[in-house]
Amino acid sequence: MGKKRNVEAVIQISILLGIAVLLFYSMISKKINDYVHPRFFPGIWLSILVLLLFAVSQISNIKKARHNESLSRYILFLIPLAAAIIFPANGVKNAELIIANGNRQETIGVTENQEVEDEDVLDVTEEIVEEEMLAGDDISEKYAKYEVDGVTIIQDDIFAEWFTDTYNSLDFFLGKRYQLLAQVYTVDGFAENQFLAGRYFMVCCAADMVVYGVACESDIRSQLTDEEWITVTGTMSQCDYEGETVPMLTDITIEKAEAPEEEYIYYSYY
Amino acid sequence: MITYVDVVTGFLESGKTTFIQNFLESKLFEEYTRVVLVVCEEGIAEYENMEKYPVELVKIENQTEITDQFFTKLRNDYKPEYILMEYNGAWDISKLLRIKMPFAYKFRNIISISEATKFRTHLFNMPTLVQPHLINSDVVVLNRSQDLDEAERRHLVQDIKNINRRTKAFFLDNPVHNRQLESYLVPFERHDRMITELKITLFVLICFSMIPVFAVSGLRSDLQSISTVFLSILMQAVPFILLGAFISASIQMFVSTGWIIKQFSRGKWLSFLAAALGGLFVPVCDCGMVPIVSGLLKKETPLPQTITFWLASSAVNPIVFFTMLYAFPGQPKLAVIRVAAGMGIGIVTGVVLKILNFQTDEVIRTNSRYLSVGKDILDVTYSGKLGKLEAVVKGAKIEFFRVGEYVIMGAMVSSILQTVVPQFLKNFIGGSVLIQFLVMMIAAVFMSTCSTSNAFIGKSFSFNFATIPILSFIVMGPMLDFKNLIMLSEILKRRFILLLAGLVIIVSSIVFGVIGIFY
Repeated sequence: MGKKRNVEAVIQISILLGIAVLLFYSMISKKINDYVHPRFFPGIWLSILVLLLFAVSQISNIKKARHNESLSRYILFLIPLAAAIIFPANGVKNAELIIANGNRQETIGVTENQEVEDEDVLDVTEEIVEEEMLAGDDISEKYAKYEVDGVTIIQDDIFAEWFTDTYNSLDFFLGKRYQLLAQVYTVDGFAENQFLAGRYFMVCCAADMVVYGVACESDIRSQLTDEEWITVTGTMSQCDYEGETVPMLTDITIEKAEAPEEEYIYYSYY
Repeated sequence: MITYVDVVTGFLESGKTTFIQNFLESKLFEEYTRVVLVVCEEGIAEYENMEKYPVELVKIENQTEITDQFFTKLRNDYKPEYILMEYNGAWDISKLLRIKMPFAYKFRNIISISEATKFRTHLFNMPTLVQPHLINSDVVVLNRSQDLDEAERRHLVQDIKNINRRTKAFFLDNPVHNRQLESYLVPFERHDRMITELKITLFVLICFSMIPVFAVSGLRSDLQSISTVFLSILMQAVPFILLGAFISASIQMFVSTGWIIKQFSRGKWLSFLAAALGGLFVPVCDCGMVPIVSGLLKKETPLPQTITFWLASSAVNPIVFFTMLYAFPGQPKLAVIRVAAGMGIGIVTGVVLKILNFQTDEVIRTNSRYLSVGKDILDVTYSGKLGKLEAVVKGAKIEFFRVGEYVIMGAMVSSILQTVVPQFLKNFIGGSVLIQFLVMMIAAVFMSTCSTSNAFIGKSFSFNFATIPILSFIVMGPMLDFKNLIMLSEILKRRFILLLAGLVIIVSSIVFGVIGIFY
C-alpha cells in the first residue's frame, strides 16, 4: 500500500484551484460582465492570485496523513462551482428569462426633487459643485461635444451620467435631439403609443440590477417587441407620469440594432 | 481478512492502560485471537494477568522505532489478526498515520483517552499537542467524570465537535455511551460507517437525477436567475472576504489581546464613540467586516464595543458618503443623516448591551477561542519574517474556509429570497409611512445589498416610498442582512444574533422616529 495522503488538504487545494479557475475563466471570457461591475475586476484578479497562494501553502500539508476526516462541509463549496457549470451566465438569451421572473424592477428612473431649497445649495460639498456645476449652469452643454448633425449621440459610457442629468435638470435638455441605444420595455401606466427606451443598470452586481430609461412616444409602438434592441433618435420633451414630470423623447425615428457586447450600463460614481 | 489497527492515545496517566485492561477483560475481547498489543510508554498502571489473553506485548521506547517496516515486521513475527496500540499522547500522530502499511492492514479507530476534568486545561494550554490527536480521533473517551454536571458535559462534547464534527465523545460512566463505544471495538465491520458512504452516494445520485428535471421544466429559468444572482453575490464578496480574512488572521496573530482590550475599554463611554468612529473609517465592505469582527471576538474584546464597531462599520464607510451624494444629488443632508444614523444606532445598541451587562464569553459559540488561528496551532515551516508571512497566509486560508461556508449559505438564501421579495413588496406600495417603514425593514433583512451600493437600490424605491423609510432601508440593510447574520453565526450564538437583530430594529425605529420628527 502506498503512503497515506491528507485527503482534506487535497480537497481544499482542489476547491481553491476550482474557484480560481472559475474566476479566471469568467474574466478571460468576459462572462464576468454578467455578474459584477467592472470596478471589482482588480479585486478579482488579486483574489485569483491569493487563492493560488493559499493552494500552494497547502501543498506541504498533503503529507500530514489524517484519520477520520470531516469532509461533508466541503460539499457546500461545490454548490457555486456546480451552479456555474450547470447554469452558465448567458446574457443575451437569458436576459428575457430573468425579467420574466420579475427579478428586476422596471422603473422609469428617479424623480428626486429638482427644486433644491436655497439653504441646501450652501450645504452642497465641493465634489458635487465640480460634478454638477453651479445651479443655473446649462448642464446639457456637457454633451455638446457628442453632437453630430444636430443629434447628440449618447454612447454607453456616458449613458448613466446623461440619464441622471436629464432627470435632475430636464429644462436644459428640452428641445434638443438625442440618439441612444436601448431596449424596449412596456411600463404599466404608459399610453398605448408609449414605451420605455431603457437599459439594465448594474450598480454592484447582478443582485441589484434595475432598468432605467427614457419614455418614448411613437406611432410604430405596436411593431416593437419587448427587449428588442433599437437605436432611437428623438427630441427631448416632457410628460407626466404618476404625478411626476419625467423626460420623454418625441418625434422619434427607430432603427433596429444589434445587442452590444456589454449589455449592461455600469453605474460608476467615483 | 483485514487486520485492523486500533490506536489508543492520550497523555501519561490519562487512563489508557486501565481502558485497555478493561477491554481485555470484557466479553467483547473473547472473540479476538492472535492479538498484538503495542505499548509506547510505560504508565503507572501495569498490565496484569497478561498470560490469560492471546496477546503478544511489544514495547517501543522511541518514536523513531515506528518506521515503514514496523507493521511488516509485526506481520512477519506474529501474523496478528488484530493490533491494539497504546500510543504516546505527546508523539506526532500524523507520522504514525503516514507510515506504510502492509497489504490489508488498516487503521480502524483512533481513541483518545482523557480525564474529563483536565480536558479543557490541556486543550487550552497545549493546543499544538492535543489538537492533532483530537482531530484524527474517531472517539474521545472521557473518564473520571463523576464530578461533572450535565451542562459541563455538554460543553466538553461541544469542544470536541468544534475540532472535528465527526468525532464522538463518550463518558465512561454513562451506560449508553459504553454500549456505543463497544460497537467501535467489535471484531467485524461496523455498519454505521457504511451508512455515511451510502448517504454520499445517495446525495450524488439525487443531484444527478435532478438535472433532467431542471432541463425540461420551467424551474430552469427560475434557477438560472437565482444562480446568476447567487454567483454574482459570491464573486463580488470574494475580494472583500479575502481582505477581511487577512486582517482577521493578522489581528489574531500579532495584536496582543491585552492591547486591544485596553483600546476598547479606555474611557468607559468614550470608547463607544471611538468604536463607532473606527467603524466609520475602516474602508471595508460589510461582508469583509464579518471575519474581522469574528477575529476580534476570538480575542475576547468587550462585546458592547465590538458590536458598536460592527454595526457602524457595516452601515457606513468612507465610500458610502460619496455614493449617497451621487445617488441623491442636491441632498447632502441625506448623506450626513445616513452616516450619523449608522453610527448612532451602533452606539446606542452597544450602550444598551453594556447596561444589560452582556459578556463576550456568554454569547460566542462555545469556545470558539479554541478555533482562533494563533501562531501556536499553525505549523509553520519557515522562521523569521518569512515564517510570519506564512503563518498569516495559512491563518487567512483557515478563516477563508470557515467564513466561506457561511457566505455560501447566506448568498444562497439571499438569492432565493431576492427573486421572491420584490414582488411581495409591490403589494404594500402607497401605504402609510409606518407600513412603508415596516416593509423597508423586511426588505433590509431579505434583500442582500452591499452598503456601498444600496443607496442606489434605495433610490429605485423612491418612486413608491417616502424618504425616511428609504433611509432606514439603506442604513439597516447591512446591519440586518440575512447573509451577514448567517455569517455572524460562525462566531456568535444564534439566540444572541436574534436578540441583536431585535435590538437593532427597536433602536433604529426610535432613531428614525426622531429623525422623522425633525426632518
